[in-house]
Amino acid sequence: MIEVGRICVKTAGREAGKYCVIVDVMDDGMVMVTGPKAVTSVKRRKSSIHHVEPTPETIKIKKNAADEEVIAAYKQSGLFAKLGVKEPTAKDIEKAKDAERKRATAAKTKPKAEEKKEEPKAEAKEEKKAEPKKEAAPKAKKAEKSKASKPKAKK
Amino acid sequence: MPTPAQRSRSFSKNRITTPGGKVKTHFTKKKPGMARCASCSKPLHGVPRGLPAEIRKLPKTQKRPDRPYGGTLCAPCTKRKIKSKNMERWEK
Repeated sequence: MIEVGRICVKTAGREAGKYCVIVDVMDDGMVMVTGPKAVTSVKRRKSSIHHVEPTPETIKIKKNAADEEVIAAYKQSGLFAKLGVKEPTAKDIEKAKDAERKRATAAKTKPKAEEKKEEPKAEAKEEKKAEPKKEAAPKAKKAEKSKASKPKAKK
Repeated sequence: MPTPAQRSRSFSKNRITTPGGKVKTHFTKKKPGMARCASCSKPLHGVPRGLPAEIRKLPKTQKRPDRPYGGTLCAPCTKRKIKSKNMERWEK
């Protein structure tokens, strides 16, 4: 059942319950999968066979086919209506491409070491802010009390 | 039955000395139980446990896993459900 061009349902993760197409079958029980993203919001990614449930539908595509070719194959076989999925406009396809590009650039520019450093600093700042407030409050109260008590003694 | 606010015997108690030197007890309310799967009743991962007011302050992404049936069914049960739905759909 698991072959290039087979339409599947994802069963795990945030993309669970969404349709996808197998684009490549790898050796160790892994599979390359796309929605494409403009169609079913499943992005092109590796996935385990156990996280994918095959359906009887197939489309004719080559191995490692691009998203545009997959969309064209969807049109030919009339699967948009069968799966209950909207046919993507040119705008949707561009949006999906832009999002992928942004993600790719962000991954290159942001090394992991920087992210780790930022987190502990933020926590330390919060602790520092919280502590002085607690200390300051009782002192102020004591000061008020001492002021209040002094005039009584004078009388 | 007393009103819920007066049912303080079952609350956990904190002994606190006030700035004036008095010893007082502070009552803290019980947390509700853990969120459980609707079909197999196992405790759910990724769903916080706390008073409703505390949970209301959290962002939506921290309240439940981002997945269909997230926060009501556990992961294996959702998998089973999606598989069975897929089977039913293509049998027709």
